Amino acid sequence: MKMFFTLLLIKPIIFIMKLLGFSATNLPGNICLKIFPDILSHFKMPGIVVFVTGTNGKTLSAINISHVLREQGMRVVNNNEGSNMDSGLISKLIKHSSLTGKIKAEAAVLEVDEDAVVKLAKKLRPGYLVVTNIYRDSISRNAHPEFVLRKLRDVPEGITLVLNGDDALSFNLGNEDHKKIYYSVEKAPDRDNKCENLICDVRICPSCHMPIEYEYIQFHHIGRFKCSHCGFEMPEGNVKSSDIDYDNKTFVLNESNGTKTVFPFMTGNLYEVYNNTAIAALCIDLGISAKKVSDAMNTLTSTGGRYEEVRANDTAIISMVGKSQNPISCSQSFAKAKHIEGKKVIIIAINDRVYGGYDHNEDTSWFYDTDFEFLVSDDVLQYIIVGPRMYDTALRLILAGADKDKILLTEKYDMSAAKMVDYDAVKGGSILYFFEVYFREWSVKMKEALLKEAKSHEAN
Amino acid sequence: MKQIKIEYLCPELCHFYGDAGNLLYIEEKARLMGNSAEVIKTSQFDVPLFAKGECDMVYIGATTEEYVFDVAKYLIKYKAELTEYIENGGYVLATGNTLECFYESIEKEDGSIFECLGMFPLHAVQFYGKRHSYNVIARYDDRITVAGYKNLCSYTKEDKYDNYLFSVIRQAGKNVSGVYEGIHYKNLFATYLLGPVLLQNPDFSDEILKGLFKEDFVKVRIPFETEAHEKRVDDVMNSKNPDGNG
Repeated sequence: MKMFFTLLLIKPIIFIMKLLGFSATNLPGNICLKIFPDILSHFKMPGIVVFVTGTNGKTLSAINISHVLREQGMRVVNNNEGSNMDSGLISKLIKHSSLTGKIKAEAAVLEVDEDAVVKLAKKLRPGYLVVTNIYRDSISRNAHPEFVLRKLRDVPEGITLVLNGDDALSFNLGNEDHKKIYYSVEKAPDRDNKCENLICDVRICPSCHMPIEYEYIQFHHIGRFKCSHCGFEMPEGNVKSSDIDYDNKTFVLNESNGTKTVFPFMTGNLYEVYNNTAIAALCIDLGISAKKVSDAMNTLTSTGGRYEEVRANDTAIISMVGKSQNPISCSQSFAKAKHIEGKKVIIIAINDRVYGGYDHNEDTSWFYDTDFEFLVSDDVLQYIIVGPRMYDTALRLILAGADKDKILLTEKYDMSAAKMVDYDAVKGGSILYFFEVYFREWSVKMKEALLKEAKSHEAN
Repeated sequence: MKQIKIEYLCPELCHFYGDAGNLLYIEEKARLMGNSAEVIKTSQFDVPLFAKGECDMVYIGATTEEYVFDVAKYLIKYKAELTEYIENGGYVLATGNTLECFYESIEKEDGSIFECLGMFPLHAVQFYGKRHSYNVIARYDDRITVAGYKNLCSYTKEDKYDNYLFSVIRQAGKNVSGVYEGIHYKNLFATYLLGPVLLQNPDFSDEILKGLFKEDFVKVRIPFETEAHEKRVDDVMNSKNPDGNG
């Protein structure tokens, strides 16, 4: 009865908030937590409940899993706004529930913050937990990987774990009572046993703390090794990807029964191969054939804004997300930039003082875990740095080898950067801009401003 | 031209929080001065250079609550040599929780006591509740302002002690003048502040660089380092939310 009256109260609030143009992402959930703290345990969840967690890739993976399931004719609830803590999930579930709390869908695919997984799993009882990876992340929230893993160590029983077999930190989650499905990716064609990144979170054996030699490293600590001292080794993938073709943006998914299926990866980034392999591993266990999963993924049209390219005649304008305080996220975007040939102007709008209008002052230590070196080359004409941590960013670029005379600064998050680009010089090349994940609105405006300025210069 | 050798101890354990930025910074500063700095990595399985008198500075970066015991065990193995190195004026910079290796002990979460180097009568306590995470503004030698960041699952039991490195003037939203932070003994500089402490504090760094390069020291600045430091100090001092947790 309490559930009924709570929903009777909250649903109109959501309706009115939406009518007034608010997203109603967290507030309704926060109200619920005050009047009915245990509301999450009282939802009647659908037959398929999937949690997706991990440091990077969880939002897009959850969105893409939802897409695959919808392509199979299912109604799916997905918290695609990125509201991945309890208040956000409550708001989302209320929007999709009847007054009795029954979720009006066949599946719920929920991106969940690493902090909240164990607590929420006890209440929502997911059938699956997909873990993309565990890396170092925001220092203030997640400290270091060991700290994150402690939070995840008590995953409730009865959940099938879909684990990255190439991630020495997270593959070992759960215990012997959990059903585990491992996914992995064979060595990519351009990789070897050296880490090209500044940071590698697994440098010694996680079990005996003795030195390890990687067989191969894809990026950071994602790769494979076997400890010659204690025998610790990475698991073989139940589902394994291979034959990565960067030109055609495809790879081959290998099932343990010998079936091979060609899959797409839209961004052309290796980390997306991992995300898509995880999605395939889950969906195959749900009874969907790899062919159907691949077909569904071929109908995806958006990278979720992670990578977008538009053209102003001869000049490419490319936007990429870089999550502030997250060195892995930024390094992956910077790695992509490294492979873009020709003249470039680089705009960096990634700062620590941007979250939701908070007066935020997190340290910039993470700059020195981030591969700014990938951005430094002779064909970069300008670095334009936006935001309150512009001096720290400029200093980091100089220590990465950038020429001071190429660096321009603008503190405010307005469109000034678009006015600072030397369009005549970069004509025929690329303007790359990296933006903070929560600044999508700014990014859209910046794209429009860059397009307008570039076209007007070309017309002259 | 002076050439110095910096020993980066246990890089496989002490590689968190952008700590390597400190070494990048010293290398660049040395270059700008017309000197040179060579960084040599020594793993926990190798004999340290300081034990052989073959380095000018030892750097120990921040680590995790588990690895700090591995670092301490390694240092304990060379305690006599490390003590001699420090007593003879050798430079040591330790950031983050590796400061605790120089204490008498660390109390683990289960209540057990881990005996450390015992160079200073200080005791740390580990906990895994709410992690301490905040900006700090402090003073070095009562004349130089230092900005930094803490992120810890441990704390020091003692409020006041000799040989402190900084006196804190702002931390976690409070004006806390007189609260001690870190250890400074001869040329040992150890602080809970983590990450690129030198990079973020050019005037404080000069105090160390002067000693390292002696008559070859030249006051130089990397573009933007002064502006970055001043803006951070200003932002934190004037912030309504200086704990940095959003």
